[in-house]
Amino acid sequence: MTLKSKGVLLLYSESAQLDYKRLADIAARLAEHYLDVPAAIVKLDPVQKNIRTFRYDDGLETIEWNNIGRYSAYELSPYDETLLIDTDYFVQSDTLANYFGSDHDFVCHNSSWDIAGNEVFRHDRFLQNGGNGFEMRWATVCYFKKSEHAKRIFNAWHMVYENYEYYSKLFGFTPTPFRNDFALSIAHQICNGYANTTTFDYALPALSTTDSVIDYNDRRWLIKYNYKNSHNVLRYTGDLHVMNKRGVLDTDLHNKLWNSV
Amino acid sequence: MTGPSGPVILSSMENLESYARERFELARQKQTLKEQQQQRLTVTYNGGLFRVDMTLLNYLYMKNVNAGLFQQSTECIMPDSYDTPIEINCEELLKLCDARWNEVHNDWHNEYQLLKTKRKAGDVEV
Repeated sequence: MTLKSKGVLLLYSESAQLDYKRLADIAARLAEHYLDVPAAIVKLDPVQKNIRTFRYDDGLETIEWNNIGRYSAYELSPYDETLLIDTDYFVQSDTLANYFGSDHDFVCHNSSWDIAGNEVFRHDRFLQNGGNGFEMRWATVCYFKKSEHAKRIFNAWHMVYENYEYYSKLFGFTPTPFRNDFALSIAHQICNGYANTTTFDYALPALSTTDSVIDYNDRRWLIKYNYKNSHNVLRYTGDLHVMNKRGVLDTDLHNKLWNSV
Repeated sequence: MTGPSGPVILSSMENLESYARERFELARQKQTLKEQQQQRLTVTYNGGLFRVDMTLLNYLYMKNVNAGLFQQSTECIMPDSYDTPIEINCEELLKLCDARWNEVHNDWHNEYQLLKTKRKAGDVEV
């Protein structure tokens, strides 16, 4: 009997403003520890530069955001079963390990929840603002196995990227910047017969760019969040997609996360 | 402000405002705690993924009680969270679900006790 290989895959591209490699290293280390599988980090050479403006607590910042190429994950993964995670997704539990060995070919999130309770992702429920009935998918965390069905989804993802302007008009979203979430949403919908199926059974836990991690200890995050003009803190335990990446690269916080496992 | 209860009313209004803010934040953090714990309530069994909730636990308990009382089978087919029919042994799945349920709810309870007592931002630590 051949044992199926399983592992975590992280893709990153170099950016002048942010050390994505350092983020990938720490995200891989945590994933390996909590999911008890190996992790592979692959550097992507972007075929096209992409930029995105992030709104932080202290203003706006436009940074190079080379996210193109995620559709190559199927070919790049050295594993039979892969968990593809973003470099700013920090695993803190074995929840995702449940999906290894499951009956599914491709699973991703269909909703994201703001752990600070400000519901910043409420406009991201559908592909079009206001809702056109096409549910969003999130490319932050994807489970897939080497199968014909998964391969078709990745091929469709690539095809949507190639024809992104056309699909933006068809589904009613702005064509720039390119968003993997949108491309995956369309590919996933097409390959699943436009049925809202095979998504994770819980929402993607995320912290928006306007909130930040201020401390970490033993799987517990201390989060500073904004509400209107006031700040407050909350403690959170569990996996987390930290969109305010700069904070995680702060030496003190980075060391705490690195040395926690 | 005039009237015998003037200053008292003002003070109560201020208290009420800060009390309302506190309750608002508590409700928000309680919701976060609920979401963070509930995402752990999934178990894998025989290739299927099952969301552990009270309905599933009740069903499994009932099947096991019936097996003991009326010699009914503990084997059955049940759809998982993704509507895939999975062959299960109720005794095995119950053990798994019960363990996960207790683990999550104990953590939830402990975290909630901390949340209730640490109300000021400066008191919250990790």
